[in-house]
Amino acid sequence: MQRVSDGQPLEAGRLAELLVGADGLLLVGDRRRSPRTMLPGPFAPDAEGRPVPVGWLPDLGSRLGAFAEAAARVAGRAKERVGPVAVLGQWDTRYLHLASRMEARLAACAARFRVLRWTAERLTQADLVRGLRYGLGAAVYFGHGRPEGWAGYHGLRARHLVEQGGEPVGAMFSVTCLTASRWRTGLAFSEAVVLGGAAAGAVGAVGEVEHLENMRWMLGLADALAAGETLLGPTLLRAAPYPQRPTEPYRIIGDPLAQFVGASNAERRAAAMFAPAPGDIV
Amino acid sequence: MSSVESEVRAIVSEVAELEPAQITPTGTLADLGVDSLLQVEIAVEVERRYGFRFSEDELKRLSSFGSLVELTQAKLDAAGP
Repeated sequence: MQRVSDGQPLEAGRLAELLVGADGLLLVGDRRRSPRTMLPGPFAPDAEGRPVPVGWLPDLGSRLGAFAEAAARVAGRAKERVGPVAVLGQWDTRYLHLASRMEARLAACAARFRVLRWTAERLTQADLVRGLRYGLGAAVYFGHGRPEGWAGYHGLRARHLVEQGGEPVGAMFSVTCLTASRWRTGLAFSEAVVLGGAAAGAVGAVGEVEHLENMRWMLGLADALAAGETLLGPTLLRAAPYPQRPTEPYRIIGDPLAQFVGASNAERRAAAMFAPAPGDIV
Repeated sequence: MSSVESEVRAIVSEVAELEPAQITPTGTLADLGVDSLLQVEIAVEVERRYGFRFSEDELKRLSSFGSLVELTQAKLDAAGP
């Protein structure tokens, strides 16, 4: 750990120096700063122009302890046990389509990790919260988003996940608007989830994101997972739409190298979750 | 048939689960059963194949397979060799 600033956003040159030789960097800074103002995107270039995943957390003193414990638990999980990966989505045609397409693209990965289809037409908010806190490897949400949480599942908030307790998710992706934005909220949803120890890392947007952009990220994430990526930052590097722009809507919150590895019994417990597709005879 | 047309046809065929022969330049995407959601997915696959981005306005103007090929070719030409 190194103190590198007096609380002001880092100059690009200073950040670039810090990133030389690094696989990722977690920046902890003044709690009044937001993901949008502290970082230009999910990556920052090092001194040679190489993009490096950079995560952010506000310095909330002792509350960083819950994050540190969650990050350590995830990092300590056996690396070969990737998954399970939950595909989540709001009950809306557009988002169910994104979820279905991602699920279809991940079908080829069935030998390496289990994919759970937990979209909102299939399970309740309470079951979703319980299932995520089994400690999944990763979860990817499609739907409307707000600074305080997801619109799907009757409005999922960070406190639902934090108060549930349990094992942390490896990484939570909110492929939606605003879940890393501080607009009219204290902490953004993605920040609160990570600071509460419900996930080692999270990805959220600091502004509005068009459906076209979310389709780009969905296809990129699916391809990255199919290609064998198992860490948050490298997955985003592979998934990012090309050509990259100086700024992107998404930010990494928490551990930029969180691995998509679930708790030891997460797969067994998650497989028992009652989440039938509409039309299934149960 | 140009290589771009051939490659874009392969993408449409795979994403929309259509036989390549069903995909003609003048037929509308809607006639092929390609709805707006699938159209966006096809467009993004084309972007990923060639390394550029369509704008929202460009996508709104897409009506047929032929127009997708033309737009793709135009963007490749604009990018230069």
